[in-house]
Amino acid sequence: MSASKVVIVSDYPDLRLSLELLVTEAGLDVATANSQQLWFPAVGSAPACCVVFDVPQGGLRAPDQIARFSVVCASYPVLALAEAGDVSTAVLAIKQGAKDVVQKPINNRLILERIKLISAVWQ
Amino acid sequence: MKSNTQATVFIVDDDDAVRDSIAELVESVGLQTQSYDSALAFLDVLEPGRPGCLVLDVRMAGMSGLVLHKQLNELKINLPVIILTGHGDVPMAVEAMKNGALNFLQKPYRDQELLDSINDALLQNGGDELCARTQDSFEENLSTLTEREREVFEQLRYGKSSKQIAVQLAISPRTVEAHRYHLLHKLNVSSVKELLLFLAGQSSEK
Repeated sequence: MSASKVVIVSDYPDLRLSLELLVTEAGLDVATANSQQLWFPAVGSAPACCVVFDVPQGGLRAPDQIARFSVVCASYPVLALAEAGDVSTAVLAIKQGAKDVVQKPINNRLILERIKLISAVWQ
Repeated sequence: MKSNTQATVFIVDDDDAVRDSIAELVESVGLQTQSYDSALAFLDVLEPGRPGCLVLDVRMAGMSGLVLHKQLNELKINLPVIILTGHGDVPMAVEAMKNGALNFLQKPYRDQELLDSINDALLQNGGDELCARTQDSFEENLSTLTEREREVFEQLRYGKSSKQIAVQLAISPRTVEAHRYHLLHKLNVSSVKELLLFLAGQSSEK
């Protein structure tokens, strides 16, 4: 368990912090990053059992953004976070290879359950 | 592309007007359609193996579209499914996509978006058949190998070199290469690399 981390990727520091606390409290190792850092190998190379990816505002629009997202999905199990009711982002995320999508506002119990499920399958 | 011309777009929706408008749209590009007003009506006439795709509404009386989709999966019916709903939300979309839906569209849908999805679906359906056919012919070709060629094949698939195989089977490397040449020819592949790629593709499908 300790070898790989749950990586939380969001452009909102508050959301990163609250998820970090939630996941740490559940006894899992955590790393955080903003979406720009994720695109670079430095963060991407850390062994991750689950990447929680908060889709940046505006959704996945630009082709290069979609391409990078699908690369991340090919390397790690990704749990995407979509804006409330953003069906098209949710569908796109799964098409690009995300394992699961949860919509905001985040339900702590639900997201922890999904993170554990994804990490368990990965390990 | 032969299967494409015979493919049928099955439409399951409980709203007459929606069924008619989708049918009209799909027929306008020269595809044939069949419409059903409920999931059960569709299941009644379902012929497994018939090429096509399914455009499926979610909210219907009796059986919902998502339940029908799950049933098709359980029956191992390989029909690409496009979900079309007026009452979509994120959990529903995620569930449908995880069940293997090709796309999840919300009403009002854009005509071209639906047609693009249907084309993708038909291509996938036709592609699967092609894949199954090549797999069948591969099995057939495999049965024509001699015993020795079969032994060499079994070693090759684990990535052994000619020299290693020669030691293993106690024959000369030249002979191994001759066997390899013949078996690649019989299996209708041009190189060991191509053979391994094909085998890898086969196991990932299972």
